[in-house]
Amino acid sequence: MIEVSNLYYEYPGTRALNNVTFSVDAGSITALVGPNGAGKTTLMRCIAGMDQPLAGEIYVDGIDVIEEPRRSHQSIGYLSDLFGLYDRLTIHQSLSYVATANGITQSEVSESVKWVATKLDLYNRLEQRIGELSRGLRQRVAIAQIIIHAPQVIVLDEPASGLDPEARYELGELFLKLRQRGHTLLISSHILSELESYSTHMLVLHEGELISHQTLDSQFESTSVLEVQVLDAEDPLGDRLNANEKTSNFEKIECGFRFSFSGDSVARADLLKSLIEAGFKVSSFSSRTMDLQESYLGTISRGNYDES
Amino acid sequence: MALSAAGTTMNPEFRRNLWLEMTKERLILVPMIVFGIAYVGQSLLPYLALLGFAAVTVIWGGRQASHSIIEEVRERTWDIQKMSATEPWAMTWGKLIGATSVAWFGGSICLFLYLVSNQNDTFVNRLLSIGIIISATIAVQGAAMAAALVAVHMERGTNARLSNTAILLILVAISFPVLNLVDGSDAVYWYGDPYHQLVFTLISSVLFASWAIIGAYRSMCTELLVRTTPWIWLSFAVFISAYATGFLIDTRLPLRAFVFHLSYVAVITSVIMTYVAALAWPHNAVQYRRVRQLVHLSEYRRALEELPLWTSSALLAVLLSASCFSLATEPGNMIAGADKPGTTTLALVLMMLRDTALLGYLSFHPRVHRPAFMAIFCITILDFLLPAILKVAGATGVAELFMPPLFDTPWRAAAIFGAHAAVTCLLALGAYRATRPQPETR
Repeated sequence: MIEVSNLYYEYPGTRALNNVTFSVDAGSITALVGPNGAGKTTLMRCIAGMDQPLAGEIYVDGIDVIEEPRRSHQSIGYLSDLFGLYDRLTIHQSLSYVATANGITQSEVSESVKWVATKLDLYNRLEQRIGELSRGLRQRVAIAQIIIHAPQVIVLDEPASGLDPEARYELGELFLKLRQRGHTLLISSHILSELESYSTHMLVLHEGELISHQTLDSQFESTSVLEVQVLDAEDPLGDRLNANEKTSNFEKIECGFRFSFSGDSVARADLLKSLIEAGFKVSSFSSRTMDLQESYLGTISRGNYDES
Repeated sequence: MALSAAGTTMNPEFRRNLWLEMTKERLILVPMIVFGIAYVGQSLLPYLALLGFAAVTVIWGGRQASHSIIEEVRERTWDIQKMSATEPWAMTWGKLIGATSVAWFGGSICLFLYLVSNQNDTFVNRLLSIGIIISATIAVQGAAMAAALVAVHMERGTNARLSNTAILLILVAISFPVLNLVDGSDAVYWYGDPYHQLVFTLISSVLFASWAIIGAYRSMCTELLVRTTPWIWLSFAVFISAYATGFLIDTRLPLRAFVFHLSYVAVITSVIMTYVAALAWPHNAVQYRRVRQLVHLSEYRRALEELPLWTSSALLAVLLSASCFSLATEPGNMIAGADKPGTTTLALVLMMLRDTALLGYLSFHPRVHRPAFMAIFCITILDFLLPAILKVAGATGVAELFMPPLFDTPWRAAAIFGAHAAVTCLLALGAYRATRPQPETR
């Protein structure tokens, strides 16, 4: 659904995106993560046809975004992190305006407004002025505006920022519903625990480069965090664990180590068996699934390690 | 109101602006205020009505036209508009007419009062005057919107308001002399033929209004990422040159002499337009790199679309200067006040090259935040203030090294400006190279 290849973007003296290449499957929710200044917003604006890159290709729903940015907007809904709304209009007026501005014919506008207002729980507030709304409701109106023309791809830059926990939960539920309707979502956020609840894929940007693009479901199934504690000296244990090709991201804990393990339950059993056979007095061996935050930090630290 | 009978949709931008502007309160208050003032100042009604029209449509309407862009950016709703499917032309007229709708509502009452109260002139002349006033106002509003789009492009922030206010004030100042023409009755001579002043002014102001709207439309295309080639800009240069030449010469000149005069005026026009374009759209190193890359890929049309606007009028100035230079040697091809007009145009073009390169240097320099203002500041110091101080101090020779006389000693001027241009081009090239991202370490 989204194809990006060899994308370069420059500000004078700074390369914001450096040879970024990836593709996003239709019907997926991709979390775009990375530290501040990694190039997330720049990448999203390029995909949405709002900014022109120095070089590269971007296709959304088969449309060349760089060649035909206006036409591509029929297939893209983009919400900036610093969005604005028409405060003097009512929700109904604003949604009607955006619907017609996006090419929905007048006969279909009422239906579209009703559909999106119901979907975002705004139906009973349609005659309320936007300037009178709370932050959470404004966020919902902004999302309603970008999905009213049912774009195939929805790009959201920090959509949950400033929302209370309940509103964030509702937003996540909405994203899952949109995915069920066949939309493809690309979402950037710093709140990784939320992205985890609905994302199917993760793209990690670091200093303008794509350092990881992974499927979260399969990765979560096979990657876990293990903690091993022993009664013996810890250094030989560290060497032994480090030699295993499925381990990474070591962290020293009392009498042992915490580390990422990219193997299934059989592989975990084999690891435990090998430690006991090697003569280690294992006092504790615990496992839990790796969350998105750990996965992200692991990816970033590997990226930093590679750099050095 | 939102629908036509066939069920097609009214321009959404126009409708949104009507929702915001044509409120019940305004529709009641505006006529009350206008008729109230008219009642109080009955004895001065024709003048008061014209003044009221100017205040409402030129000042307030011009402000509304520019704010239809500036406020979108300030309120961060511009992205909604950029992401919409509304075409640039629909966006342009929707904003231009919609945002100024209340101003035109009040202005139309003023014009009606002017028409009925001014008994000193014939009915036809009054209608012509109203036509001039309306088209001059449209020209101001269109130019105000175009200027707002340029200001937004330049500054992308609240400072755009300040730049735009300055531009709007200049436009209003220019429009008042046009409005003054409406009571004149002398003939206007253009290419040697006499024209009725009101008719000539009406046609001129309609043409300028059309160009202002085209300018707003093209600026809107740029903002909405619709690619364009610079042919409209070049056509405008040709139009202005042909229009201005009409006041200088007589059509009975031989063809080559006519071309010479036209070229001379066109060089000056193109140089001025190059300055305007270069200051409005300061140099962007990434844009130049993109052009280079497209040329490298043999994508010449795309390269032309990416090329900064100033380059097209600068190239036109260079070509016309060459034409002027070759034709100036023919007997009879003289311009009043210029002994060697061909060389003068050459010096003028070199001065333009110097200043655009200086602007390039300032634009590429990482510590200069407002290159256009800094360039104007530097040019003012080097071309006017410093030479003036040196002349007062008796160092006329040194002063002429900064600003040589263009018309009296054009060869010397060309040589000095050429040397200046070489220095500023080298500075600009060095600064441009420094904008390249640092080489990758991995």
